[in-house]
Amino acid sequence: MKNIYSLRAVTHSYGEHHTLDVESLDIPEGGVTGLTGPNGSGKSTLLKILAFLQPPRSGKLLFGGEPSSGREREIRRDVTLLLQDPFLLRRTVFENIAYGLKLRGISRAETETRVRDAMARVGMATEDFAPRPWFRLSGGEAQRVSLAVRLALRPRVLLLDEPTANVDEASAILIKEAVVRARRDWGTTIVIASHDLAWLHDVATEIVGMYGGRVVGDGAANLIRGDWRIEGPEDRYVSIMLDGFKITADAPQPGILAKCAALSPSDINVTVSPAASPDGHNSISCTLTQMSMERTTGSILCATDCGGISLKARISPDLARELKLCPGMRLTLSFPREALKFISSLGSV
Amino acid sequence: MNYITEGFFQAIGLILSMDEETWQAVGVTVRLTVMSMAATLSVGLPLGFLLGYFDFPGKRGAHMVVDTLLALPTVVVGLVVYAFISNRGPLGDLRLLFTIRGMAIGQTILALPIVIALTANAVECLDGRLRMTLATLGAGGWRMAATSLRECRFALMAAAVTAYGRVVAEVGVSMMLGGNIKWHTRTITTAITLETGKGDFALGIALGILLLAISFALNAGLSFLKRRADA
Repeated sequence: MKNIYSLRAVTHSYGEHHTLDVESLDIPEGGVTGLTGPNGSGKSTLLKILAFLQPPRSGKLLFGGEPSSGREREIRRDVTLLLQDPFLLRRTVFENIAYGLKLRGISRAETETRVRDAMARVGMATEDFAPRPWFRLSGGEAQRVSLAVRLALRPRVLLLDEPTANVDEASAILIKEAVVRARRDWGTTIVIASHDLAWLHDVATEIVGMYGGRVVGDGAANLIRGDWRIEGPEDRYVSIMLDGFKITADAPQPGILAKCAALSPSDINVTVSPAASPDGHNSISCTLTQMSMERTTGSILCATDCGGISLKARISPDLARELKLCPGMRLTLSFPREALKFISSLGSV
Repeated sequence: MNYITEGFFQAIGLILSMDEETWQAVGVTVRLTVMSMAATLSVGLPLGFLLGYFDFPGKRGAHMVVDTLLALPTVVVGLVVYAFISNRGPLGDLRLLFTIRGMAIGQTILALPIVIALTANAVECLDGRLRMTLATLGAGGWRMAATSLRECRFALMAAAVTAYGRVVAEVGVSMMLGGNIKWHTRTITTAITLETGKGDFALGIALGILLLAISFALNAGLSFLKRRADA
């Protein structure tokens, strides 16, 4: 698959505050890429850069295989971003959706057809909603109109920043369906920043994890933030979790603070019965809460609740069958100390 | 107290009898206000937009100057413009002194800071997401500026109404640059000043009522437009 975006050594900062440092990232054309990570991890900044709304401080950004520099205005006609907070012009719903089409010189008749189609895609009856002014909409309706504004453009790339974060459940379902349909009908490349991991795992062809302005693996990485303290004669770092169990890690690399440790789901060993773990291994008992098929790897991702923190473990479908896993089961997760790697706010795992 | 009540009833009589002198002052006021407001809005709105929309060196200084000029006394404007357009002044040849056009220049200078300051403020107060939304929908340059201006249309109307209030109610500029010449440059406000001085309350009150009626009609029109724009 061709890459629509290729980022190399892209950085961004607001004044002295560095918010983004992406060494290398490719986003395939026609795919659904999910961005995950805690608040402040740089997802929104990355989306604004991908939308060509703010230029990166440094680095190379290719769009469609060619350098984007100097073509921003032209590219902005193909790429559109839906902001987290819906923003509508002080006009009717119809005029809002027609605005971008007018800019592109699309005929009145075609505009009406597209507005109708875009509204239907977000589950809004044209007769009822089209003449409504901007202020007679609920939060969920405003977000759906905002999405319809973008869908009417039939964009090559649709970027979505937490599209379902502040909306009611019914609106969230309509928004999710509309996004998937856009890709199916027009081959639109979709990039979604969202905390809704279940949705992302369901629709995304690729998931990118972010932490502290950096790309940290495929987004499935467990990030363990805790009160890490030095313990014992060998200067091990230990974090005591809510349940009272301990997680032990090796000291971080020089220059990295022991604040957040990343643990790849592939490094976690899953057993059903409590087994004595080898020396130097962490062993935690937990409850299996959810299992999802990872489209990107073909593996099964098991989400577990380990007394206050949730950890994801990646296993093969064969093992899942062998262990006869189902949600609610008690499991034992074990992983070597070395598998925990402290990451800096702005290193890759 | 009687003379006030009597004055009020006489005033109603004057208005209803279409007293020529009264309506002449109304006519001059309307012509003068239209000229001043047309000039003020066509210069003030673009300047206010530039001041609010763009970042440039010296922007804060420009803001301070405009804000200071909000308190410009009418008589100072009268004095300065008088000095320029009187026969001895650099613009004396234009023969603007004691003409409605001369008065309109003074009133425009008086109202410009209001329109510039309020327009700049309205544009600066626009939602930060507006520019980003317009850009991501493909707008650029002029289109973005025009849409931004349209987004703050209600604040711009308020700026225009405030400037109108300053223009229609001022006496200093009209008196100094117009000379309060009967049938020629006498406005409602200069007429009220004169009639009150003479003790003719009836004409003063009649003119006062008409001045308020004009303002009321204008605001009712704007309110109607705003309701239509909201619907």
